[in-house]
Amino acid sequence: MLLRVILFRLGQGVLVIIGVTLVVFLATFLTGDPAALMLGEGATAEQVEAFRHQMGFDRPLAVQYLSFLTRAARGDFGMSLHYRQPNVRLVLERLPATLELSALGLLIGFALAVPAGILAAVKRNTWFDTLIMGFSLLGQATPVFWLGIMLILVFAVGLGWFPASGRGGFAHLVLPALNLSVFPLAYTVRLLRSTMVEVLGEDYVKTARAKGLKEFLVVNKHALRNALSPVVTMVGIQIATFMGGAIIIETIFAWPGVGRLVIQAILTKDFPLVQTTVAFWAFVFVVVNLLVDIAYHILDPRVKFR
Amino acid sequence: MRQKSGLVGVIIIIAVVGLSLLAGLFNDFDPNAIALESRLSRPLSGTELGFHLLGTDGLGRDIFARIIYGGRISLLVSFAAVLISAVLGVSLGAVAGFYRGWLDAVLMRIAELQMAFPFILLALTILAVLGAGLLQMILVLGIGRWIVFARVVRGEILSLREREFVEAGRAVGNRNRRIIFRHIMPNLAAPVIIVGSFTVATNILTEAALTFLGVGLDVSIPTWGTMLAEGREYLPGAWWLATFPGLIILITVLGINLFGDWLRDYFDPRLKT
Repeated sequence: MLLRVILFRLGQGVLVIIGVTLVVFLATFLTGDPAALMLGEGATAEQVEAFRHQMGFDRPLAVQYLSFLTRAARGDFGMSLHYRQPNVRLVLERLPATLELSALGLLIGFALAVPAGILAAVKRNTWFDTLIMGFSLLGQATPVFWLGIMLILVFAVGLGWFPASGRGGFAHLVLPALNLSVFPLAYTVRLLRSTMVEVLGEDYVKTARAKGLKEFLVVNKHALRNALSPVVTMVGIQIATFMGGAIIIETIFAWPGVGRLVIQAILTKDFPLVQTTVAFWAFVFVVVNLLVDIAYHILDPRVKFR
Repeated sequence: MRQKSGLVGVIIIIAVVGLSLLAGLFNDFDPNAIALESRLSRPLSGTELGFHLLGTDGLGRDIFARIIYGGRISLLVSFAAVLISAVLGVSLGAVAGFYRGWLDAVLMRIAELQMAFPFILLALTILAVLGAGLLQMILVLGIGRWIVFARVVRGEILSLREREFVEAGRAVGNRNRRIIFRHIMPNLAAPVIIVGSFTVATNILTEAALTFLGVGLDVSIPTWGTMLAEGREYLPGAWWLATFPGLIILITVLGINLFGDWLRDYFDPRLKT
């Protein structure tokens, strides 16, 4: 049963990736002549024509796209115009950096959000609750990149506790990961608090308490399990925001990850690289959503997949 | 508690909007006036030209003035985009919800496809292709959020169309369009306004982010986003160039969020946290 669903989702995912790369592909051609675009303004007409033929742009669009797909299925995404290296290699080289950053960011976010959300719900309407909610309101309103700049100004330049940019040891990871975690953290805390408050008022919680179960167990085991469900759903939707945030953070902190690669590719109009990175992001997005769906199913087996 | 924070939100919004609209009254400086002699003056400094509350930027332009004028454009862009999203989303959502069938299915699949992808990447790609500019930005932001409106409207309609007054209307012989306009639309007003206000906040943040990344508006147009992008060049020395635009974004978005929360509670107390 689960296997069937996973396959279905993967199939959907492939469609998504195809759809996305199609959009980018079409975008490349909608701007006009891609050969001229890629060569820049200084190229002569003959150079453009030669390049166009060399790259195969003079073939019908459908043929070009199909050839792109078939090559992609074999793992060949072509060469980057700017770096003159295979695109796949460029992406894979930077993957560990992005994974590192995202993992720590998620970890911080989640590790802090869950206890904070629970405590805020349990100590509802106390100063603690107000404090946590205040912080999360601020967190949601803060522009991600501005926070990054402020963090750098205060902690790197001002206090000198952390390096301002680049990737290196753990110290280099702290500020970017912290920055990345703020928005999801703020959002999750608010959500978790409200779901916990709702759940704690439910009958089965009263029953558990009446049974004589320790409060700690009631809250953390029974209530939490149900309160987490809507949160996990939102995590799936939040992934997109999270990935977008990663792009920005990597740019500010000069973190050599895939996000930064995407931006550079777009800015240098390196369309083969843009294609590859976009396809890659779509792939990650699909996989993560699948994992979230599985997690959701584990948490609440009553839920049927669409 | 909610009442008070909602009020704070409203005050902030009125203050920011008022400041932008009545810009001329609040400062002596032309936001685009270049005055190289007083470039990079610190906040609270005074030159022969006047008192710079928030300092000046790399070309000697007064930051406070630029923030106020920039606010106009940032807010305008965000509002215009919300209008586009709303019109697009409400009409598509209404059609999907009311007529259902294959229209609904197709629209939902398109929506899923668009949602399945990090918006920022889509926006980046489109802007890289269309180029930077006010209209392009409004378009991109508008396309980005139509789905939220569509979903909300579709959901409302789905639940409303089964209700009694629709049946009653049909029994009396009302045509479909009449049913939509007289009976269903008024119920949509509240959710749409709520979604709309949160979307304004999101658009402000997104516009700033896109411009900051280098694919949004051109830095010659004073918006909060372009000021942040420029300000980054002058770090860490002239910190005020980047700090204040970001701060105003924070305050504005906070105000809108507070107001939106209050609106949500007002219209549907069941959702109260």
